[in-house]
Amino acid sequence: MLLYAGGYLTFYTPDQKPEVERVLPGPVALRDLLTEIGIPAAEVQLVILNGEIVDLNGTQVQNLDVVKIFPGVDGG
Amino acid sequence: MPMKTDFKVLRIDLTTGNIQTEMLSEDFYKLYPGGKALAGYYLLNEMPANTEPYDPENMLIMAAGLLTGAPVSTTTRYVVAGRSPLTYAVGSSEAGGFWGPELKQAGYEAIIITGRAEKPVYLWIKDQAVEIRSAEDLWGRTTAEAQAMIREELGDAMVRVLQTGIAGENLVRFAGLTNDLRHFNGRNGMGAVFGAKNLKAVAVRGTRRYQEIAHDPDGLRELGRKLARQVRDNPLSWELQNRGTPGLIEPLNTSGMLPTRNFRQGAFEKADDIKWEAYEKELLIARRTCFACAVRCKREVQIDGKPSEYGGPEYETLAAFSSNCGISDLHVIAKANELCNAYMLDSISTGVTISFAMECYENGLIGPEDTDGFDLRFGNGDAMLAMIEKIAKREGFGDILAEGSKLAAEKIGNGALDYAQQVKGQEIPMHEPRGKYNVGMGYALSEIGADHLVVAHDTMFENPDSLPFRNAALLGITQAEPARSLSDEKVRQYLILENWNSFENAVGYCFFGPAPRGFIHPDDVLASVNLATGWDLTFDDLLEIGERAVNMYRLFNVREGFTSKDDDLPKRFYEALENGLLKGELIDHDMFLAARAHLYQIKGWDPETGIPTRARLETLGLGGAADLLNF
Repeated sequence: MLLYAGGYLTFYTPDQKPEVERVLPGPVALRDLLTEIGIPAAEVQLVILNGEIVDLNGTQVQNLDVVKIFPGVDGG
Repeated sequence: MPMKTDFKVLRIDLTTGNIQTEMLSEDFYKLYPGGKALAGYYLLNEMPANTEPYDPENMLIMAAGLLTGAPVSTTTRYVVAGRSPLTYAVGSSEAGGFWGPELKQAGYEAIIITGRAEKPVYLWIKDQAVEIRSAEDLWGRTTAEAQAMIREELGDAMVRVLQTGIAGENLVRFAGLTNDLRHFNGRNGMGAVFGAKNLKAVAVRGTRRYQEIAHDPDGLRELGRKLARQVRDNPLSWELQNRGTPGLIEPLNTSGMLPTRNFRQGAFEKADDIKWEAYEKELLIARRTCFACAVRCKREVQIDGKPSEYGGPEYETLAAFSSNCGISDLHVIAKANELCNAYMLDSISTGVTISFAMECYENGLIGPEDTDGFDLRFGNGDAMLAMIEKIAKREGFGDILAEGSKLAAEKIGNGALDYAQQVKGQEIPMHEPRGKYNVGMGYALSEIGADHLVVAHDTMFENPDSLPFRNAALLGITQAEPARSLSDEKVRQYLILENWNSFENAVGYCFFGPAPRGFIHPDDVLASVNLATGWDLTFDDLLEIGERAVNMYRLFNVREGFTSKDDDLPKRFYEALENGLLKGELIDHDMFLAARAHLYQIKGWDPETGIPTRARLETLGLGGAADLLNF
């Protein structure tokens, strides 16, 4: 499973790199996975699972999934 | 003890060569503490109505802020103001870097320039010594050449040079200014006002440290140290330090809010080629910063294997020349950035004026016979680079585009105005208002024409648990609202955020400093002002400083004939986005106008005309301005 933590969410990943790879034993709740990685779910505003927008609550992920998460993004 | 300064303003008449210094009272400065607040006061009270932008009587005001140059990260900003040749409204363009702090170190809050020199000149300010020197050898030079020549002539490599470029000399309506070749007063064509005055540059060197004037220098230094330590612990400032503004490409593209092909689309199919990871690999060679700022959001890049003299493209430049023009070659975009900075063009207006021309070309309104033979379609990088050269030099078709998209559209005719993405004549920045309605309201109402820094963006306030939202609570924002909404609550939040950003501008804070956009908690922002001044201000006082400044700029525009009709978005944004996550989304025009009327009302402006009421002006201490305008 590949997680891409975009925007300032990269700050929370191990090594502060945007991509996090995990081998999962089976389907897991995305919210639990984020907690395990150290990304506060409260900061996540947009979740794209395999190219489709999904709700963080209730979303499960498994091996071979690609998940992109983003916070609310400002300008500048 | 209050601030230990006499708040000097330097006045220079380029026609007569007369140089004078005046002192402001602390009570006056408390109402107009720099930046747009101070500039607004002079533009309203001293500049005759109906002064044309290129008239000698147009005032050119360079105003630092109360905190500019303080030992606190992100307090680096200054404003250059006057009547804009691009919008004919109030012109006001801010920048960071080193020039503003140096002006304060020389002992000045502001410089006011009037008149027109007979031949090209530049100003040399070394503390209290001020000279007008010949710039005839500098005219026609790139900004890098001119800066090197000035520093060599003055024998000091640390002189801070604010200058216009070849575009400003040629009166391109969106010519900007640069300091240290890496920091830009890009917007509103203030570089052309320099050019019209035969003023090439203002070189400054000062020796007075901010700590010598601060009310509580030790407290201010301690606060500055604390904030510097927080930069890497705060995700917002960490992101700016790590990626800088180019980091916005990926999240905005994914969210369907990356302006693409002149705002027809919200997602760019080649975004992977221009996003941060590609930028880092292809272009990045170093990171830099502004005066005493720990954020370090500036990028240094290489082009064709050589370090650029001008720094790397920011997000606005990157998007304006890439997705917005359908171009994905990072090296072409970096070259476009370099050309803009060498000739000193505003990269937003340049990119959006070229994308306007590309859409005209693809729809048959113009052809190769108009564009000097160039196939000016979306995606043609060579044609884009050629147009930048032509605009700066006002050659061929560039002479038409140098007028900006609105005036160029009027010359082209045949409905071309529908393709000009501008408000009050200024091109729209790289943020999609169909995804952020308050940003759209800011584009429409901004006194300087379309501007993306009027309010912190809507997407920061959708999630009540997020850090930016929690930091906004002290400002009075406690209810999460959807980004695509203009509810009464959303409009109320707009007013708070507008006044807060306007306050930041006045005192010299960068948009990336204070929360909610930045890492500095509002409590620390307030503390910084009070430690510097000893004024014991409250949040309400800070917001009132911002609101007063907004109203002064508004009054300037009312005086010059602007009406509520000028506070509207281009037709495109009331039509559906063609692709991306927000495909099909549009802004309902009736809803937008109703929200605008409500906003006028809570601002204390007439809900139909948008003219500030006398009652509100008197509350803000602007009764004198109301008298002046016979309100």
